[in-house]
Amino acid sequence: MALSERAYQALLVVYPQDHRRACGESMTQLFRDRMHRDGGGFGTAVVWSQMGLDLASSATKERMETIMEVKSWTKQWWEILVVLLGVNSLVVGFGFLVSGYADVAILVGFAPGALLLVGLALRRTNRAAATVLIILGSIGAGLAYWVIYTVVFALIIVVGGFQKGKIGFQGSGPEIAV
Amino acid sequence: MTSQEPSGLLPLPVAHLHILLALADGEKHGYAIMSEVEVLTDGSVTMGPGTLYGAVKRMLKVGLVEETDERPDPELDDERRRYYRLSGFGVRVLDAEVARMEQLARAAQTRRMVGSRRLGLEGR
Repeated sequence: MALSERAYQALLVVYPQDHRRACGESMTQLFRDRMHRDGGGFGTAVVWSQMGLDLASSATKERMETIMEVKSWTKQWWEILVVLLGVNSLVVGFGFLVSGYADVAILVGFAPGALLLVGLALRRTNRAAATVLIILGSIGAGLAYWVIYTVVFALIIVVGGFQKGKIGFQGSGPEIAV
Repeated sequence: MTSQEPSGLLPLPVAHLHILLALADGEKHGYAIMSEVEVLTDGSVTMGPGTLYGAVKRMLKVGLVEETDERPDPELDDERRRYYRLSGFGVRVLDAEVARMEQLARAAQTRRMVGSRRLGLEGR
């Protein structure tokens, strides 16, 4: 293999891996053909200058395209996350409702869940409204989870303390053993 | 076979148009496409491997061209080369693009005539 061809093959590393896999061999073949036709002396320099420009412009384009694909993939994952968060909020709300806490169910479950899911449904038709709803829903759900988890952890600590006898009532007030 | 309308892809990127025109008279491999584009443009455009195969990859994706196993002359050719040809959709898109450019050229011609008349340059 000629030195020029080896150098060109090494330079293909500037392209994304998928592009190299799909087109690398054909690109090297075309480079070989160009060198065979126009290479030799000054011609080699001309071919290399054209190849340099071609590499720079096309590799930039391919890289940009890869980045855009990754972006759209990330966007889809955000949508999935919003759906999961919204559905989970509704389930939490339903849990509170059947437990007899209708007000809490609306506040920490149904309201954030509805904001998230309606926001997601509007993302293509009304981007601004969708953004506001999803942000509000996320804040609501986040606060709700924070409150729920804080209460749950507090209960675990208190109940655990009672069971181990570290918290108890003596006389007129509670007493915590250290 | 794609259900997309040709108008959805217009105007075509210049590289795509050159490749479609190069393939209009039959299947070709990369080097033959590059050479044909040079002939079509009187040597003013020489497509590099990155530009050519980047464009071919995108054209394959939207169904403008297709890879073919047919070889014009198997005796003379390297089997490792990939050959491409226009798809039915590619032919329709090429026709639509050429019609669009003809219309544009007519409009430009009319404007030029009007402009020349306004400036009093007609006949000079």
